[in-house]
Amino acid sequence: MRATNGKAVLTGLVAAIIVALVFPLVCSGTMAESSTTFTPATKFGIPQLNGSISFAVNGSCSSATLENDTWIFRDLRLMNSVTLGNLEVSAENSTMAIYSYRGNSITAGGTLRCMVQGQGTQTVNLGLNTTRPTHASEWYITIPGPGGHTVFLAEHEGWTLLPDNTVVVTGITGNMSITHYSFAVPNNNNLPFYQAHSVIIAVVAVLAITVAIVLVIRAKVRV
Amino acid sequence: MSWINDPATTIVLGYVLIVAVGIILILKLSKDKTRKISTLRLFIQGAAVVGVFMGLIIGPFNKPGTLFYPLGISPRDRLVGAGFLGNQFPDGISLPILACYYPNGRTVTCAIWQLQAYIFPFWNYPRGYNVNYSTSGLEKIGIVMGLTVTAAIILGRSFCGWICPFGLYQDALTRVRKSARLRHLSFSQKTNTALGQSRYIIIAVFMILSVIFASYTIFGAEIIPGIKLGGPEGTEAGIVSNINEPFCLVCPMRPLCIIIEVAIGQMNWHYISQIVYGPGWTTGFYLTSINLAILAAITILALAYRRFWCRICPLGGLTALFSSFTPFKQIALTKLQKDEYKCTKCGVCKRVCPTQATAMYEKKGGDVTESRCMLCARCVEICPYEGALKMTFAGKTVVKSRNWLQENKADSQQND
Repeated sequence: MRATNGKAVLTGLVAAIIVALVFPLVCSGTMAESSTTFTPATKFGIPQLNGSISFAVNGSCSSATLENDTWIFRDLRLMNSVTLGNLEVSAENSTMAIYSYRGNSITAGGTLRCMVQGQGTQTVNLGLNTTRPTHASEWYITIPGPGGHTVFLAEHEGWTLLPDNTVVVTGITGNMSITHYSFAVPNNNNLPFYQAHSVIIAVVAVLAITVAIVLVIRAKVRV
Repeated sequence: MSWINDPATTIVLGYVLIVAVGIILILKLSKDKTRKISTLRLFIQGAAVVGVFMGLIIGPFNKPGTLFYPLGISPRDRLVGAGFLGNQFPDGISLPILACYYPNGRTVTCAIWQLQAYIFPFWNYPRGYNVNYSTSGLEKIGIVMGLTVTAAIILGRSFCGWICPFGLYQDALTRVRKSARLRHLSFSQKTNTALGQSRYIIIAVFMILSVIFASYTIFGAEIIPGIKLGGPEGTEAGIVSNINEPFCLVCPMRPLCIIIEVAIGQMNWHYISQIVYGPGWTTGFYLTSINLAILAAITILALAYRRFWCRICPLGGLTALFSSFTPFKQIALTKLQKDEYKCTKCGVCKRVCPTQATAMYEKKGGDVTESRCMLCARCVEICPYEGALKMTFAGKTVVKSRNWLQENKADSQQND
């Protein structure tokens, strides 16, 4: 009886493993929710400025439009990510290959990492979730330096900040990262109390429920 | 369902499946009754390390060209942090294990780091290292304590025995020692007791230090110079750039994490220093030397004394506070229980205990969980008297001692 049960358990385990391994393979691929997909081979050209934008990884977006010599990527996703944000980017007399981006719709922070070829000008708007003009001290434009150190460029050392939070970079080639740290208070002030403090409310509730369950168990054990 | 084709989700589901299958196989197939629980515990420890640091493989810190970059964005970004806990609590779920936040992609995070960081330098929202907080330090500390107390009530110090990655490191060192056929050393009971009490002193000291560093932010008074928060990260002077989270400067887990990450190419080696730019560079290396020296010392001590760090770990002390002492002891769900009528006082339980706990030997019966006990169940596993010791959860027996001497004898007679 015991040997039979053991065999049944093993058979069930093997079956479960086979199902788990085969299941993803037999499921058909799904349509991407976004309507524009791209690969590293895709070039978003800007003929008027002799520039182009590309991505170093596969990705998609709900739309990719060229407006005023600037490519606007809405609901951008990279490598099956969640929606990362809306990116507006342009390049003049240069090419820009983007390999990392986060516009961050939850906070007003954002970052972009790219490789620039050609001595030209690039404009980047990370699609920050803020309408207020940011200060240059909130931005980090970095390039690799000698010995593997990171070089932080101060404003006007190859970049400037426009009032609409667009960063204009001139004369920088190679790897570059553009990062915005937000020190503004995240906009939870308009939320109701229970939403603005949902996490601690949930934690207190979980703790209270745990204690309640324990007390019930103790009472039952005593009985 | 796009998640089906998402490699990160596939990896997580595969991981869960492998862990479940592994547990079942060990329980069903393990023959040695004196090693079954230990084998299971080793497996769960290994699985926990993979789970805790899953963000290392499929996390937000992957860069193009690194080994795991093609796996994309981690499920953490969908569930925890920005997507789920939002900017109220983006640093991951607090658990009472040494799990440094930066390698694991903030899925679960060491509660000690969070307690320190939310006192200083993140008392006032919204500052953070590339994260924004919409909650004050007090609220964030409340969340950490709530999660820690809940975890302690549910599982007690079994986090230390079964899940903590540094516990696995020490157990690996124990196996290294055993393979060299060297006997472990033991402390006297007086010394061991003092070590256990030092945990509470350690955590108190570092929390007080954090409050001192945060004095300007919290009280508006600069108790020691250089603690005013300055401009953006990298431009601040003084203490805030060098000595925030003071316990992390002496915790052995931090350099271990960084060394492993650097070794597999997932972190820039500059992060070995506490600060990677500006005038603090030298200070950072000096602090790092202390960090590395402590890791070396703990490694040697853990080779000689089983689970040495666990005897002084402040995080273990914090967990013990909320599971082994009144009133939490009364409501803790995971306990070690003893049946005094079945115990013959053979003493084998206290001989095998890695932390030299003695309550299961000295106490008469009932709940014998003590603050030094990390609920590893080794005593239960080795006790040769049926039901003398058992580990219970919510009053139900999870594992109990077996009369393995008689069972082994019966098995060998049957084979003959």
